[in-house]
Amino acid sequence: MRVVKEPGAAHSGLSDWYWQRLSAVVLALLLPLPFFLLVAVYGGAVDQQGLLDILDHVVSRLLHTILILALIIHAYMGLKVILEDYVHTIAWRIPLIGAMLVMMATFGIWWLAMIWAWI
Amino acid sequence: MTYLSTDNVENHFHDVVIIGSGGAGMRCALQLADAGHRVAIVTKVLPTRSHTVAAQGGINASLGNVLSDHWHWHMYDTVKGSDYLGDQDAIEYMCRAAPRIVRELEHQGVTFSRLENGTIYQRAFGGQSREFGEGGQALRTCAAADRTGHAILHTLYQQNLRAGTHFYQEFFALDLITDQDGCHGVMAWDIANGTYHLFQAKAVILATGGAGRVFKTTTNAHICTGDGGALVLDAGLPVEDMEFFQFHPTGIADIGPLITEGVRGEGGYLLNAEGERFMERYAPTAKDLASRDVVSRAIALEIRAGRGCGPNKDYVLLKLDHLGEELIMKRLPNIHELALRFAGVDCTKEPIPVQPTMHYTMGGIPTNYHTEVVYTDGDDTEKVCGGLYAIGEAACVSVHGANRLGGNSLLEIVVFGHACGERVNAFLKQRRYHPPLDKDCWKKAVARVEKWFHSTDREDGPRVSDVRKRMQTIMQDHFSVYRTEDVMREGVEQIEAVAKELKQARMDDACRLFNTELVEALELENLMGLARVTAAGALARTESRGAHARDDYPDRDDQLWQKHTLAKIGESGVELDYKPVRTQPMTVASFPPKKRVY
Amino acid sequence: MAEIIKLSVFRFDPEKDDKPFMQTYEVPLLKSGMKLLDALNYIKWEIDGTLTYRRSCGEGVCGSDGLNINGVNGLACITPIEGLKQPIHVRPLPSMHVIRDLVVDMDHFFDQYRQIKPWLQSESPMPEHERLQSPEDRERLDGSYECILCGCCTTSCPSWWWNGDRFLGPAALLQANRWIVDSRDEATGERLDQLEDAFRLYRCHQIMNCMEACPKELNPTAAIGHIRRKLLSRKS
Repeated sequence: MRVVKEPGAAHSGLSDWYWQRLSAVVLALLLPLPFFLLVAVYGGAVDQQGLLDILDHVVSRLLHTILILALIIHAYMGLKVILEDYVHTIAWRIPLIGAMLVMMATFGIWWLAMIWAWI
Repeated sequence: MTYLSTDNVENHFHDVVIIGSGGAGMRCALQLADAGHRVAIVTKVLPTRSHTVAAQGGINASLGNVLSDHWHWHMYDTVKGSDYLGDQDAIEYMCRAAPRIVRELEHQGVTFSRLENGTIYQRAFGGQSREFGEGGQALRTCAAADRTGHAILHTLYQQNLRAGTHFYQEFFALDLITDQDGCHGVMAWDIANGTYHLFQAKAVILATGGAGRVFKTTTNAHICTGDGGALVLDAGLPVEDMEFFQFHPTGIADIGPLITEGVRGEGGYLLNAEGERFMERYAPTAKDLASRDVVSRAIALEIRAGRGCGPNKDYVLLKLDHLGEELIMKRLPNIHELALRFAGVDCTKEPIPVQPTMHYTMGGIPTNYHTEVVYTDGDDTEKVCGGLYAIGEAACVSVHGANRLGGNSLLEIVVFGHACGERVNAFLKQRRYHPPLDKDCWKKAVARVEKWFHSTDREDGPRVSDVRKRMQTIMQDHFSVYRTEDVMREGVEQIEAVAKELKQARMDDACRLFNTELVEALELENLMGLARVTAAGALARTESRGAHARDDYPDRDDQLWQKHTLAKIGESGVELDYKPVRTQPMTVASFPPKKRVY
Repeated sequence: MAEIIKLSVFRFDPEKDDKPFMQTYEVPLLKSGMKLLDALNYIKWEIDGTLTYRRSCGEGVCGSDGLNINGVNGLACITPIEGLKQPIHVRPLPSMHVIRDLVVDMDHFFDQYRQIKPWLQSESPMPEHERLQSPEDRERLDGSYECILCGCCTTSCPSWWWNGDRFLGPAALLQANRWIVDSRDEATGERLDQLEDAFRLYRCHQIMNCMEACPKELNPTAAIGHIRRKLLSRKS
């Protein structure tokens, strides 16, 4: 007989799910934009200077920032769920999720720094 | 720690032990658990697997949600339906309690279908009238689509989870512990772990259901093996009116699954091979909604006259496609599913092949309307066996007499489940302590099981399943809808022979863990006792009454036979005795016997 | 000569066997429309009395005989033999502790059912008559009250396989939703509170095995979606 002692609700399910879905919507809207831009570049409609002008524009930078944040949130939530599904030992699960968070945050900061030309 | 002369029996102490987790047992358990008693349900299956779950059509109560209604009319119909063999005090008790108990079920969460004004939906069912048969068809049967039993059983299980009832699941009851003061407990076998348990209790309640599996074709589950009745017989107490087995007019032909009377209540009707709506001939007023025994006999006569359908001309058709797909899917979705799966028929387009199929055990453990088990002691035909109660289909209160009305079985289990709870609650105030038991009281039960394990060493002797099949075939062939002296006499002899054969039977499975062959063997022992009693009682009753219809005695004989059969199994075989019907209701005037016309 | 059906049945005797094995049986096709339970009964009654499985009503309403049949969960008593690829592989419900042969331990499954408090909770005083409920409100219970607790859905759910100790599983969540939508129940808030958990509810990844497996053709995934929407609208 497998006796399970029920720990009760952690009241965190909705926000996780909410952020994952919200980020998915943002990705669905914003992710096509860079591809349009690429197509435009390869199709010859925009030259290198034009491309840089578009990317430099403050609206592009804002959209780009939102895209990166959404991407990181979405990836973090998704990978966290996978880790929770398959890594059953809490002592492994939490460090793994933590490590993942640090990696993604580093990656995100690096990218944001590029967009806003901090360096 | 045990004071028994063995350490292999685990001891449990409860205030009340209920055997059986069907509607009756759970309703009673709920009452007692809510009153703060330590209640144990000992059941051979998991809860919600009990056969209450298969009840379809509904539960009768004179709520008057559609047409005006009164419990007294309901009582009249029940008495008439019972062919005047029902005990009228018990019937009055049940019909009076019905509206309150059904509303209570609603409060507990049963998903009744609803009328536009939000009250419980009620449909027409067989044998039910208004104004004592003068006011036309009554609408009295409260329904949750066609899954009423399922809805009620699950609700009662849920309420028991809330109330904290102890469930001993997959425990098979082997033997009642009785002495001159009554019943003090029960020995049981833990099927999964293969161990013995003694449940000591101040009150033992038998809620073990019917014995439909004595017949070959039945609407009943494999688990309906009359275990309570057999325990009582084994304890030297009688069972009552076992010759009355109800044949439901509309079981799916050859296979058995039930097609509810609600189909006819919603407007479906029966057709013979000539496409004739033959019930108009047999019951000009009620037609297809005559009482079940009447409709079953009519179908049997049609088949006998060569007007049956199919290659063997052995079934009739139940037509409901004219009701329209919308109504069928809303009110009878489960019927649609069953017909499709078991008869291969889409009932929104074609009729369903049906034939009378064994359905309900009117007889059972004799009780008074307080649900106390009674027996005859000298002149006292109602002597109470202390601490022993019986409810539901296992009991014979008797509210159904010789024929049960559709919708009264679910009512019986909840009304008498409740009544039993009340009575036991009062009884527990008198019986404050568990009396000490004989230290050898475990031996009979253990011997009962161990003998089967010894049988696995033998190569000779019939297998349990062979004996069961023979018993079921004999009962089916000799004690069906129509019965005659010669056929039954032959049946009695054959049943007695098969009962002897059972003593030589063997099983294959020697494993102690989850040995379902052992369970089937024990169930067969239970069935066999009841089959013997049924056969003997049916042969002795030289009249036709309700479900007991004889070609050689076609009429009811109230002078001689308005009495209950009591049967025991003694050294020399089945011993029959009789007791009068309680024709005096609690408060109203008695309904004297009249000719039954529908 | 009747047509012969081949079955390959999962066997495990805890007293004798270290490991389970598959045993082959041959059963005649007794009649058209024969169900798998008829074949198992034939084996038990005519060939091998040691075969162990649960069964009760035989018509698909009690939920005893949930099995894994050719890789798909279903009830033996309503699964027709015809149309099944032979040999028919009959196994116990996946991811469950096997007690013997086809019999599994259902305790945890029923515990999870109890966890969602599957009974009517109401503060307002008991009315004299029935609690009124419009036919439309009653109709919202269709598709969930019919559940027979057979376990076919829950044991087909990969999320429950990986996290069955904490994820409640489709059957329990379908019932949780049944009480949330019941117009008579007044504990919706507490029920939602109890479900607001990344494991208990949100472990559902909409794999939809439950819906495929349900012998009563119910849709637990939709019920779980409904609970999520309820939680979302409560917070928004």
